Amino acid sequence: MGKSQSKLSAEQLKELQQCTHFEKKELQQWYKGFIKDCPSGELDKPEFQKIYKQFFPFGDPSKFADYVFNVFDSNKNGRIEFKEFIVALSVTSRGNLEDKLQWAFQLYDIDNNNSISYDEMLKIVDAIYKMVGTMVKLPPDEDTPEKRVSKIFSLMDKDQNGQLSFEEFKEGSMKDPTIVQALSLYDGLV
Amino acid sequence: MNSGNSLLLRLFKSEFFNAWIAVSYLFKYPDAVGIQHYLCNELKKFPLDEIEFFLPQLVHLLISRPSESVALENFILDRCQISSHMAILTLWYLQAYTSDLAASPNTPSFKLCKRVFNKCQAIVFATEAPGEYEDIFGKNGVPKVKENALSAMVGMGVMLAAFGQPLMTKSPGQLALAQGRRPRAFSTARDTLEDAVVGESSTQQPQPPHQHQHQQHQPPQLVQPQQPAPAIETSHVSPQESGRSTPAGINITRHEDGATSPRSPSGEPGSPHATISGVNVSTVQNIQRNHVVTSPSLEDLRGGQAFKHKRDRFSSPRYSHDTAPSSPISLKFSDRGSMDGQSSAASLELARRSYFHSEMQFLLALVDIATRLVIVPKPARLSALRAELTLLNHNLPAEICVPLWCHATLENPSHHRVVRIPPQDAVVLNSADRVPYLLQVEVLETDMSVEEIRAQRRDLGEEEDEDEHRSVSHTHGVELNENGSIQLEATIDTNGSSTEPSKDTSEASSTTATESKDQKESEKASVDSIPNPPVGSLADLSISPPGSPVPTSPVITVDPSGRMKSPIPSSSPGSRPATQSRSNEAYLQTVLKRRASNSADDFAEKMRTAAVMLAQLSQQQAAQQAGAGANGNARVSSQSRSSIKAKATSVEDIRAKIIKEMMALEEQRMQRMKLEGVSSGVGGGGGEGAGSEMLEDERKVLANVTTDDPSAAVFAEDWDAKMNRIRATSPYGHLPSWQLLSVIVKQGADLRQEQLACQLIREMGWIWERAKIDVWITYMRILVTSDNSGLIETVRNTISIHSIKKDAYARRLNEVGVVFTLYDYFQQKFGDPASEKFIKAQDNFMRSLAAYSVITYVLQIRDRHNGNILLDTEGHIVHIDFGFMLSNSPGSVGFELAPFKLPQEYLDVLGGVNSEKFAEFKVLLKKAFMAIRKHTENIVLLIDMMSKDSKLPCFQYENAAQAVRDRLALNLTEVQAEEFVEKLIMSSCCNVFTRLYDTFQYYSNGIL
Repeated sequence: MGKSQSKLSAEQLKELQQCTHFEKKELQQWYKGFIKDCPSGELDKPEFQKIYKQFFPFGDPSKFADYVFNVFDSNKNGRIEFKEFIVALSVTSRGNLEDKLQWAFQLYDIDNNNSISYDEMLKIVDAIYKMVGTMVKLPPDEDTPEKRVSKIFSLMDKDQNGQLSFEEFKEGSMKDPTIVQALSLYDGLV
Repeated sequence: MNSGNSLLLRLFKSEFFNAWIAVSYLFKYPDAVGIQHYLCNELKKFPLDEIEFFLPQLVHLLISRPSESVALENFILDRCQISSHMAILTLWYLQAYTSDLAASPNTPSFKLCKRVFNKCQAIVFATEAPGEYEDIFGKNGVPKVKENALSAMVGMGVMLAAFGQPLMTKSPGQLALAQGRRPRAFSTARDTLEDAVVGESSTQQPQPPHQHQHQQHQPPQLVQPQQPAPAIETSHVSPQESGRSTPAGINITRHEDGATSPRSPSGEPGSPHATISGVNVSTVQNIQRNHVVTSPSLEDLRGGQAFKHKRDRFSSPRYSHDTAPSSPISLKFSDRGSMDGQSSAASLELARRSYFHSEMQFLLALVDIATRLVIVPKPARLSALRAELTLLNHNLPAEICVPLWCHATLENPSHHRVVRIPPQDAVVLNSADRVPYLLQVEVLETDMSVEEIRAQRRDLGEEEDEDEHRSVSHTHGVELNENGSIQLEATIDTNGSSTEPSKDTSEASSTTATESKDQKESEKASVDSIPNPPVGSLADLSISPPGSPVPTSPVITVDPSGRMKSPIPSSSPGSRPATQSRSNEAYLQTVLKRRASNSADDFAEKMRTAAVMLAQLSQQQAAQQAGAGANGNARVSSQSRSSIKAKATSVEDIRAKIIKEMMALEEQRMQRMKLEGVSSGVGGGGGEGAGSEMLEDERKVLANVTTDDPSAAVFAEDWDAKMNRIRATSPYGHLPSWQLLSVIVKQGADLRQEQLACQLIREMGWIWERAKIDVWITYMRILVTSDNSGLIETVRNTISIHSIKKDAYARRLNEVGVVFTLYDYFQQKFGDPASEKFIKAQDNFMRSLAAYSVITYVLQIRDRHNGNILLDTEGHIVHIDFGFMLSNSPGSVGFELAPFKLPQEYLDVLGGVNSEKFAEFKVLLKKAFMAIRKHTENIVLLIDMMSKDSKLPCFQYENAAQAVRDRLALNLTEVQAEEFVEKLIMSSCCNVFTRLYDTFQYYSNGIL
């Protein structure tokens, strides 16, 4: 995708229509918004971190931002382009729950081996806790990343092999209404 | 950065955290989205009156620093949702900013201001803001997000975190959504719509060039049609547009939909916002027009329903856009919206809107009176003012409170009701070119409905059947209106444009919407600057008869006897049917007959009409001059050009005649009152009972009219005495919750600087109170209604030192040649200097002087002549008029160099520089200074927040906040600082510059 062209070409539109749930007009609008926010047409990691720091001023979101960046950056070129952004937005706002979970699974499966280890989960949860800081009061059995991860595994690791498969991840998420609700943040709003 | 911010969080979570800290950090981190949202959330936990105190700063911060964060905007609007006072105050501030920024409509500040104004207006009038309805609500009526890529990336990240810790995703998710709703500047379908609304008349209604030309001559504060924000016009709109004219036609139904079935929370299809999506631009803008609040017209006032919605007063469908409840509703409006179970949410919305509408209309009516008085010559102003107020009184009691004075809170949402304005106690104040006036407002602190209040009304022997009277004059008003509006149109044609004249009545009323829109625009162009053109009354006093051909000379003629009457139809005898002429003749007779009648309202009406004619006259003159000046304006025919000169001379005569008539009217009224006593009702109507006491008062006040300071007598009267007197003569005075407010209405002055000064004084007062330093101050409430109008509270029982001295000289209290000083006054007023009374007064004087010395020094309040310094009946000194402070001083005279005013006469009152009292004064002043020094930032924050891009004169020359810090000598040690204060006092003592300034004021302005 060319750098900061003012509009998407007919070709690009066609391609994006195929891989998202958006219509031409919507794509064009979001493209304008994207270019306005990222005039170079792409975002690198430091820039991405900076955005997160704006939103999480009292914690340290840099680690979490890095993990999220990797999920967005599907072609692993170190930059988030419009296409990567809009595909993610399409999944998160108009995808079904399974799509969303599939997408979210990538975050936790850091080494991309189709299962989430205890360590992987701990890394992510720790990053989340660091990002949010002390802003949220948590129940005593979840007030540290370790406790939270232990709880997750005790609830969801059915075969108790210390690894969460996608199936276990999916089942566990669907059982927890707060997770389902959090995943519906953008439903009907984009 | 992060460690710094976690410290910040610790501060925010500490016990020291308060609204002040929240506001100051909002100010320090304008672009930190997360911090802004956090603080605004925290601010919601503080009581509304604390927020209200900071409102000027918050609004200024919002507008002067458009930032990434939407937190502050959302916060202010959220507070407006729950508090009607907050909503109205905010709306007025925003309106003032709109005027400030109107010259640069492409700035982010202006766009932001316009957007928030529209949203605030939507809250006030319970409607959708423009550009906010199409395709905008998602599931559950929650607004959709816009194309904000960055916040979307955060929002998506938060979703990813759901599995790891769902409890941590809720508030960041909401934050991402809130930021995601931030409007984008680039064009979408709905943005285009919005832009089109903004472009309004210039794009939609191409106008003939001469109109643009005309508009350029308009005073800048009037919102012109080609100015970019039609939805923002709120005050300066003539009644022609307020909906009495047909043009509002198209949108009416829309509006009604919206009003009668407000958007259901579910946002299902079929709810109003859904139906609106297909509406064209002109409809959209008209929707906005409908909420334009105007001050009531003459016939509204006569009808006594001006501050009520009046749907069922008119059966004609063209009034039906007025969607307020049709019967006089028993409106128990509360901010919380607790209506009894029977009432639906819809009727609550209606009640709410009607309440807001009435309240704004009432305050605008007060301001408009001040506008009209400017044109009235000085000698007639008092009469004109009382006439106006008499008419206004017909519309009271009403469901109106005066924000800032009203004590209603969220916890106790019972607003007071304005029940009456005693016309006789209103007085015009002296001013160079404006006419502020003082009035008393009677309110009831009650939950009673207006009907209940009326029922409670005590009959003070007033015989007039109000209802009958009202219906008669009302019918009359309508009739006049029909004629009058045609007349007005014709007049305009002569003045400015040359559109084809004179449609007859029926034609005019059946004009199609588009046509009448054109018409409206053209009317507007010429009429706007006439303050509230009184369509009805023009025909009344008589200008040219209804249906007559367009006159080519000034419409008013005056015959040798000095009576105003219709022009003799000699100009075009053939063109007018004889029947018309006869009916006009007959009408003239009715007018004359009515004039001869002696009801008080008649006087009031005549006075007002005369005032209005004067206004029109000067308007005409201005327009003619403008027309004559406009080179190459082909539309000014040679014929009319030649007639301009002739007109000019006659205009002056006419003016003189009108004034003469006004004075005669007033005299006649006074005469009649003396002869017939109160029973004639000449006393001013509107429930003006009055006994001999009233008569006495009238005389007393009247005696002062002729002197150059009509206000002196009013200020001299003791507040309690005045209150009791008014209470005794008020039909509502017997009610236990009766209260009296005393305010000055100002027009033509930006009160925001006064407000800032009063706010700073209040803050200093709190600092002293907390530090338990026994000084005395007072502050005035100031209600800003636009960038050039507002209300100021009067300080009770005070009189200016200038007036004290003038009065003393007038009464020759001292031997000729001997200067009368404040010390003389203290003796005269409080007795022997050894007496208890004197000592008490002296102590009061000392405590107030210590406080105001620090205040005037720290804030560099200038122009401290004796007209701006008051003394109350207990000996306290009070400073008023803060037009010069911080960085500005009276232009040509930069020699007010003393730290504060401490002339010999003050020292004399204190007993001289060697007295104990003076020593006490110095100690107290030092303490007061040191306390302020300790809390410098409390003061500085308020100043600093207001200073960026400020239009206020006090911020024009230097960094005002830094200068305040400098004056407080923060670099000095405690001991050094005390020495510093000592020096300040000594250099103020009998400072030669103080004397120089007083002398200057005496020679240039006659201030003693």
